[in-house]
Amino acid sequence: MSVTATIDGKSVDIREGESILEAARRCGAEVPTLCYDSRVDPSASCRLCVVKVDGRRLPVASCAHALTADMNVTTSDDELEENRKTILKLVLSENPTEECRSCIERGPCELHSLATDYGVESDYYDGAISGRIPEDSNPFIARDYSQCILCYRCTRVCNELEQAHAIIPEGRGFGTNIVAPFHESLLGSNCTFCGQCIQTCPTGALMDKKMLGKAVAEDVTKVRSICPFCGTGCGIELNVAKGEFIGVTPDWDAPASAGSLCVKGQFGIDFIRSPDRLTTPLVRRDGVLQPATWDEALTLLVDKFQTVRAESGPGAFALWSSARAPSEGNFLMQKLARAVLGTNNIDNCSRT
Amino acid sequence: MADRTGSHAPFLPMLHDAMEHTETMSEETLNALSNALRIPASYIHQAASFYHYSNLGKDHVLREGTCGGPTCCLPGVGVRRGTPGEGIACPGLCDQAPAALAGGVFRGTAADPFLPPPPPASVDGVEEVLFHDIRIPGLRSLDVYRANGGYEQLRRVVEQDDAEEVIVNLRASGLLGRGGAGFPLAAKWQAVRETPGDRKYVVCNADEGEPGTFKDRPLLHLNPHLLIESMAIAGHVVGATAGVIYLRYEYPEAYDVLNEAIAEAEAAGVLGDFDLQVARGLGSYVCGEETSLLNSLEGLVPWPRERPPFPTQKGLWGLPTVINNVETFCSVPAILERGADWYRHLGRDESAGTKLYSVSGRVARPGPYELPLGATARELIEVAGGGPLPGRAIKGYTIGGISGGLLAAEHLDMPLDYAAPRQHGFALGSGGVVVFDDACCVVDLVRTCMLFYEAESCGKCFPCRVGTVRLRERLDALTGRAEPSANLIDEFNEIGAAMSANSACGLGQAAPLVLHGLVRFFGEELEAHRQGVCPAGVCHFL
Repeated sequence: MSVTATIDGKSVDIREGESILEAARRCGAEVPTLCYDSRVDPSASCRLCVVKVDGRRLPVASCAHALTADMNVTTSDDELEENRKTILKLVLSENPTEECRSCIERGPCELHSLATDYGVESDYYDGAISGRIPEDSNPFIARDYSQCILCYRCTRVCNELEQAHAIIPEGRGFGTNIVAPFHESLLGSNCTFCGQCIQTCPTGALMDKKMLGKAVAEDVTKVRSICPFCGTGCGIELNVAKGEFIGVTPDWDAPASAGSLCVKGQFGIDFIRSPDRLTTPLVRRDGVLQPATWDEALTLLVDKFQTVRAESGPGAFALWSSARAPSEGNFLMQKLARAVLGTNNIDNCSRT
Repeated sequence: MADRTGSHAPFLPMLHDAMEHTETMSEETLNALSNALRIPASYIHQAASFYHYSNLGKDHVLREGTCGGPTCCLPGVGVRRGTPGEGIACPGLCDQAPAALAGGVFRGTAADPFLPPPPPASVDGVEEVLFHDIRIPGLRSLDVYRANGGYEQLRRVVEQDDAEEVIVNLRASGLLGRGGAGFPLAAKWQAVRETPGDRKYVVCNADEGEPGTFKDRPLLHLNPHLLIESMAIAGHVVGATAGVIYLRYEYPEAYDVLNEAIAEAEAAGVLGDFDLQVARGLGSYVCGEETSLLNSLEGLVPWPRERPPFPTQKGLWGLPTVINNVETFCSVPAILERGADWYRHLGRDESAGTKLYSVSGRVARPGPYELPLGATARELIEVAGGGPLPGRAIKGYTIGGISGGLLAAEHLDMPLDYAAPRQHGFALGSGGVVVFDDACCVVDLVRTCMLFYEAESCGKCFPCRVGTVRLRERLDALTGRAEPSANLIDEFNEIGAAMSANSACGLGQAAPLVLHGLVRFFGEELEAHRQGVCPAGVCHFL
């Protein structure tokens, strides 16, 4: 029994659950996509990945169909490429962008990379544009739907992957909008500000508001790191421009997170340069927190702990350890609780 | 909120219930629906925002408007359209054009919404099957239906309990799906029958939204038991005990007729354990696409699904589902009664059976007519439809409603069967024919068609969502509403090719066909428009 298929004349082994698109890319075919994000179900919207399959009257969306035994697939010929070019011209005409902010600040976006590949950067059809709802006031996500191509990656990631159900396509056809139902701003919506919509957006429609205007792509260096906020260990990239930290992008290869982040890792790392950040212990003198030496601070703590223990017993203590401390620090914290203070009231913010 | 426990597809009924209590859909109502249906509120919002007659994000349900369909916008029939968004989607009253929505009621020029189809005209060899009994007074009642042989075939199928025999008969009859795609009925039923599963569905596509198509309407209005019996037969054959009729919003009278008939049949016990329900749509052409229809029933946004899997494998709620058009279902009892050979030979040449055609536009006797499958356009238009209006000459016609293509008077002898239109890259589709004559402008007609596709495009796929708008804009320019671009024909061809090949469903694939007809068969009139002249005097140039 045959367990192979043919893609562009080459024999390809069949792998369980693999789409035609994935198989084609595995064997080196360049199949363009705009609505594809491997983490969510294919929506087969952009119709750029359509390929010819022997026996099928019309080309099929390769993202949404499994490669099956004996299938004979053609990923590229004159007709397919002409139609891809036409679709790109249509999409570019929907919301033409003079200066794509994503291309400038994040490097070439998926849409404009394809436009360049197909030589249609400015050669698109005249007509009405569809971008409409204005920027909203949330502090994290810059939404500019005048650069949106309605690929629905953001809404699928939000609903299917994150299950936040904050944003959704509203309406029909050319008049479709991406909205947070009943809310103009994401602030009042179900949005958790995980930022995953920004990361999947193939254009400049969704951007990290904190990073906007901070640097051009050429000046940005990405430094791999681990998010310090909790024990999960999500992979992040610290974006650094001219020696300054400007924001975070996910590390797609991180084993613990595979590109997912939460609001803290995505938008909260700017504490690095925060003027509020403590650099020395503070002791309250005359009702005001004032800088102190470690000796002074620790002596005060020991005194207070001894007083409380003598008056109320060890059960009066509860210790809360930080996920931002290393494992060794958390271990010592519970030792302090159990062996020194004599209480089991110890917990960690990772649990909450 | 009314209790919809036991509903096979509670979303649409519950949305209708909710709309009855509130002028504008509120967040609280949507959340209540979400809780009751166990569907995320975001999905309910997306779905409810999709339909023409939903009140989400609007002050109230749309209650007024004139028809923006191609028949109702022909000169001498109705109003020529200005801008997108004007006019309601075709409500299937093209034989009574112009149609309008007034005070929430869809009406054409006829006062009676239950008009029977005109009697058969003198076309040779016409033997009505679907319309055979339709003019019998009171046929809507169970007694009259039974007195004319009704439910006899269901009784026989149940009694003989030989589903294979039924399928053999249907295969021999040559009956192809009448919804537009022409898939063999027997193969579909066989596939569902053979797909393992305890729960299966029978779904009727009564979302007759194709402009220029109104042939299911008389069946729904006047002979509901025929459909009910046919669906029950389907249920018995494929092993389904649940059925849903997806009825278009624009046929509210049929909603009452069907519900009354189902109640009467159930009370009389003729349906056995087959539980049939009616779900009323909310206004959307694309819901006539079978996978969009299924998504609509499930409360999801009615975007088309990728196939495979086909509904026969994974249909409603992911279960094996027979889904057929009203006309297809209704052909079954007669085939079982009178035999496959009799039915097959009703068609012309290789074609099997009869077809319901809708003819409208610039003809003397517009209406739904049943003719042998393969009757020519000339027979339909000149004989059944009464020919052109006095003193006028037919210039051309659209087929498949408007989605099958556009032809000129020189093609009047083309058989309206499945094969002949394919020579032009066209399709028989729903069997609707919109006729235009020398008083009409073909470019303006094609623009009206494109306005319709633009308004109904679901927005899922790029080529259709943007392509329909770009094509309509270029037709705007040709009809004097804007400046035409230099390489117009190239753009028509490019955009049309990408839409036909790459669109996700039949809407986007078929939308360019009228334009192909225009470019191929009406080159002179097209060229005159490029020069700023409308030979029919319909278009006014800037």
